[in-house]
Amino acid sequence: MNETMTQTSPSPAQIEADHWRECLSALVDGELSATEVDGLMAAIERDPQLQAVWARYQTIGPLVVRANAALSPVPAANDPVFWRRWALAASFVAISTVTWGLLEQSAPDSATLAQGQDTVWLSSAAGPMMRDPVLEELLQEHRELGDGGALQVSTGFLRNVTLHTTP
Amino acid sequence: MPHFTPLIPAFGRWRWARWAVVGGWGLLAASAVAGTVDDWLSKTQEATRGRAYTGTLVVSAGEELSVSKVWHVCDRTTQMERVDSLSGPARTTIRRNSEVITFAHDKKIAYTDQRESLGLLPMRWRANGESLDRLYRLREGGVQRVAGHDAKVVELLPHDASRWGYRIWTEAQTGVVIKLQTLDGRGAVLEQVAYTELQLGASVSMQALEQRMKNTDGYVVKPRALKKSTWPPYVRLKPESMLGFSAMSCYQRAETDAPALSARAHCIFSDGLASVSVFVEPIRADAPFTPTQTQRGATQVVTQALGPYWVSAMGEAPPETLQRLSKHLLLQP
Amino acid sequence: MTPPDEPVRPLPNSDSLLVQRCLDGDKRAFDLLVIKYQRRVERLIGRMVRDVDAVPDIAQETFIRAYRALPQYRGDAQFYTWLYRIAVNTAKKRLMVMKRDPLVFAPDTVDEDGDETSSVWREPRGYSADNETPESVLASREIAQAVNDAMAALPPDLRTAIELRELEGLSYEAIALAQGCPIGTVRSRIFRAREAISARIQPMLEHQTGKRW
Repeated sequence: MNETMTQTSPSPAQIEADHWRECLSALVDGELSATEVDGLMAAIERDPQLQAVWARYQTIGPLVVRANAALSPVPAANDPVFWRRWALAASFVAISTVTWGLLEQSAPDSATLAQGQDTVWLSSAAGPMMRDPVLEELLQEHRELGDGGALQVSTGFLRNVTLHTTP
Repeated sequence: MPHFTPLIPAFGRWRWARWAVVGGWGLLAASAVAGTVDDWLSKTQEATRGRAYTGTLVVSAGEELSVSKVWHVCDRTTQMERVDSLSGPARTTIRRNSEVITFAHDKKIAYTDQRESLGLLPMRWRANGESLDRLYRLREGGVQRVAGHDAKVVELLPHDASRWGYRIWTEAQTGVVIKLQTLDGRGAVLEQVAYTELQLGASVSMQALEQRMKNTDGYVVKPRALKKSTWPPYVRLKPESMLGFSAMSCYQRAETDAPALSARAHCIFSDGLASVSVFVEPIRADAPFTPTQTQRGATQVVTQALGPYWVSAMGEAPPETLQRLSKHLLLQP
Repeated sequence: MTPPDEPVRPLPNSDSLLVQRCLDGDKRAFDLLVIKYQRRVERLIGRMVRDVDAVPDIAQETFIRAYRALPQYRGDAQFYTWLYRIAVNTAKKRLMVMKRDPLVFAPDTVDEDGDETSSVWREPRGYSADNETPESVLASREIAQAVNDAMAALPPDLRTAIELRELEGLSYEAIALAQGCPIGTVRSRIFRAREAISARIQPMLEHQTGKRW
């Protein structure tokens, strides 16, 4: 697809058709504003062929996922579950890009603590989990001082830091 | 009433072949093993040197999902990383070789410590004379796309049931690890660490990181209370390793700390890839403990009373391994 | 049958947007949902009901019921999970009316839609629920190859954008940050990538006409 290779400039009708198809593509991803949806619905009424475009775009995602897996098959049984979780994490990451280290202020906290007597309840994306504070402390120590050997330098350290437990 | 006329041509009317799962270990093309496990792991270590990158890291361990932003830069002598938490409490961790500081922004505390496991010595795990090829074998797959990069996928499969397996994706040109899965005996994914986006060759200023690391204004600096210590007398260390795990180091708190805490020894074992911690302390009459067995992603936890000691074993290994290490460890009085 | 895996929080996609729009009075939004899920619902029903000719009928009834029940959809489950349950119940009711045995479901494997399916319906007896002929397996491989070829032929920015969206599930905002460009550019890149992939595989998909689901 060479973007610069247009011999003649597209007609207004072509530009409009492209615009609605781009809106449909954004709608597939849930990334269309309410006013744009208004315009799109009206456009579909005028041009029912856009429904076929909608159908086409829906199929591409799963095909891309499978084609990628087909490059080098690994058991997919667990992957769909993980894939959804990544999408969750990745989409909520977009909101928090502030590097508060530089600003030195508390970042938005997605985990809130409710201090109980002996147990600490953390609410997370998965719902409240009961934690044994003694075990949590040991786990933290294990993560900090443990020796992940060969993979420590590439991912072990990063994994342990990311999974810090003690708030 | 909406109309439902199926106007689309029957494009959906084929079916995908189901990618068959053979055993638990998948269908990685049985290509010739190019080099040993040691060699391959050296390459992943090497890939972190002399280059800079930045990305978003997502760690999934059981029900937990944690996300962080990562910066990495390395020259001939120094490796630095910065990790900002994007989920959970606001934290910034900066590492310079094995020196680590963690800024807890909400509490205004900066924790400092030294972490031995992060030395720059290549093939550190060979220090005990063990080759990882004795414990794992390498199986290479092809190439997949991950986080916008071509990635080679490889499996490290254990020879026995005493440890987990790993599936690792490395960037095709540089060898940087993009994604890593920890697998149990059936090939199920226990845990995954993966970049969702990764920019190689990003410009990361080591100087800026060093400055940030030194700047503890407004933060209370707390060095780690634990110190490396000699192994307690009640702990037995066989000359040969146990299930492939070797004793690495032992940490304890200073005597001046709360006696209950200072009586606890943190014994660290490793098979060269997986880490197991065994915490041993004398059982106290005033602090009853209940034996437990839990897990958090790839990390298993087994706690029990053994003789007069309370033993808490945790690590990225099967629970049976933790059990046996715990039992093996203690000299009965 | 157990409904498909429920993500911890829904992926960004069009479902909630369209459901809300429909509840606000725009019926056309439901048409788009039907188009999106029609084939998948038909495949699901096709695995439960052996009478191939009854499937489109039951699927239609499913969507009618879903449309009527939409005000009761509270959005605490994913839309497809909710639709899935309606489809299963509709099929079961129809089977009882047709005086078939009540179904006993044993969750087995997860099929390509991510829906669990019982092995009960797999035995070949004229009607094969799997319908995995050698031709269809070959066609699948060819389509996968074509998709990979199309991806490799894309300009890098477009390829990365569509991969971050479809393989990593990033939002446009996250992709914009990753690629260092405005969100509008991300939207355009993903659109053009979809057009390019679609152009390459559309002839192959149309070639599949005539097979059921």
